Amino acid sequence: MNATADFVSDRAELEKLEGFTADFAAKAGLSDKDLFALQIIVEELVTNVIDYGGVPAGEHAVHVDLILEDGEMTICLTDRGKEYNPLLREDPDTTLPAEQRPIGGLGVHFCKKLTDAQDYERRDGCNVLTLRKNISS
Amino acid sequence: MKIELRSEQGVNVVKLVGRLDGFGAKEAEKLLPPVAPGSAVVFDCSDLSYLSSAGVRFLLTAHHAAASGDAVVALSAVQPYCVSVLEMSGLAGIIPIYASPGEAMNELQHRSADGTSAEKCEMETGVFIFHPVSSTAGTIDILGEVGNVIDCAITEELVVGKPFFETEYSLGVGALGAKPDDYLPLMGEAIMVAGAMVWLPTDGNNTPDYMIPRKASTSVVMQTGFNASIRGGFNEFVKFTAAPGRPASVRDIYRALFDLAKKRRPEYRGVLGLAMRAEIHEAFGAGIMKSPVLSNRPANGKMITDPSNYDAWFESDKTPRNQGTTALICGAGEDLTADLSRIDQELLRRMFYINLANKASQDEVLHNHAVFFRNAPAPGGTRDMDVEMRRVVDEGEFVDMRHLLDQTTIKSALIAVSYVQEVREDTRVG
Repeated sequence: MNATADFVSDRAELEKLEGFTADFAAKAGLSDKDLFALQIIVEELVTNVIDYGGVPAGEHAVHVDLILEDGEMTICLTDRGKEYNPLLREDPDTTLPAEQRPIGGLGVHFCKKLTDAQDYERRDGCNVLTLRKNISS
Repeated sequence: MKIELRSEQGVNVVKLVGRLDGFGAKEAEKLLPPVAPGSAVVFDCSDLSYLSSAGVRFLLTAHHAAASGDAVVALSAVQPYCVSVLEMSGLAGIIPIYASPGEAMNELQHRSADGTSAEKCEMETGVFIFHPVSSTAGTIDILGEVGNVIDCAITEELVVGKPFFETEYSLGVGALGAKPDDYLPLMGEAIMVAGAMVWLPTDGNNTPDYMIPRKASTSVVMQTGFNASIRGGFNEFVKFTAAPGRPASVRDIYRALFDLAKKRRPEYRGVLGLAMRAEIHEAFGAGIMKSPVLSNRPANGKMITDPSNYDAWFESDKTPRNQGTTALICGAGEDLTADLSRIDQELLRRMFYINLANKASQDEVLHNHAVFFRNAPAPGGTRDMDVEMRRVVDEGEFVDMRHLLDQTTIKSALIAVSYVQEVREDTRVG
């Protein structure tokens, strides 16, 4: 079971993310909880590319592959933005008082929390980020 | 992403509908009105289906903005998946989360923003939260006497020109007009609060005359046969919330304030002066229908409040005059169960009388006038009655004005209380 989608560099693109992930979840038989996690992961990562990838507005920004195989969901994002490994980013300290809370870094933190394995490589001038999540059936 | 705003019991409720994702959060930022200093905001998340880090940032930003202005923010009815996002982000430990908007409102109302000086008293009538304001001695200053009104004995000689003061809390019976022939036939119920003057001319039209003297070009003088002003500053600012589903009567609120004053305020002398911004459940009013001047005196020679004359003289509501309005109330109460010996009895009698439309009580006598508004803005969260009332006057829609009957019921209120030390003759006349 797999699905793909492409997003241009525009936050309004996020509106189509819901349909894309929901279709995949329906076909793959994902639980609501796993769908919710999937939506957060894809949204956070796509938003990062749109906001920080340096892709001119309206141009193709990121390609997303979703695969469900043998109880494991793979989420793979490929983008032509500037080289950046989000996994190297330090996790935000979520125990700090509100006033000292940094505003960024939360999205990647969510992605790590919601998946079981993460891998990044720079390949052919692209950032390729692969996340794996065990789907308990 | 949609935002629905409503105000309930003095708390601003912001309903978030849809998805707070990277796109929705930007929309929500544009739609969210600024959080007023000192106010309380509850986000109703019952229809919030999705939340990402962008949504968390939106909520955190609202929290920052609120905290810098002594305001508080809370979440309610958050769906399970969204709760897990709040937990992952650590936000669950920063912004309180309640099961329902109602529960959040209860908590926020009972919480003082600074958490220090407030005193919370739970009574059968509801919850009273007292904030100290001023320690100056409160007074009630009396012009004329209510006895001349109910005796229908007002004459030209007894009418006094009372100038309007910018910050004035008073009630009385009077009229606007240049010459005695203009004002004497029209004398009716009057109230002055928050820079507004409202009176009910006894011209048979039963329509209040509403004006804001500070916006008038000439100075305004009310010709009055009886007037009582609360002066000297209020001692406490009180947030009152009736028990859920059980609106409290004006009488019950006074009774609770009397009882609490006995326990809490050593200087209490049995008389309270109040200015109140009340969210009305059902308002019952009364109004004198003819000018109580000597030439109108009933043929039977009895008081106009006598049962034989009452119906001809007073319009008195048997069914609610209005519901769900915001009332600005000025009034005073005499606690007949207290030791009243330190108050001048003669002057006290000049302000209180028994209105037949009020259920007779052995325990207290009240005298309140009210002006009613619709579509008033939510309370701004200050502890300044003048500021809170002026917002209603400036932004609300004027509806009516009446002598307020004690059985009027109230859902919640901001109350400025004066523990009256002295009832005096008013010398500030024009």
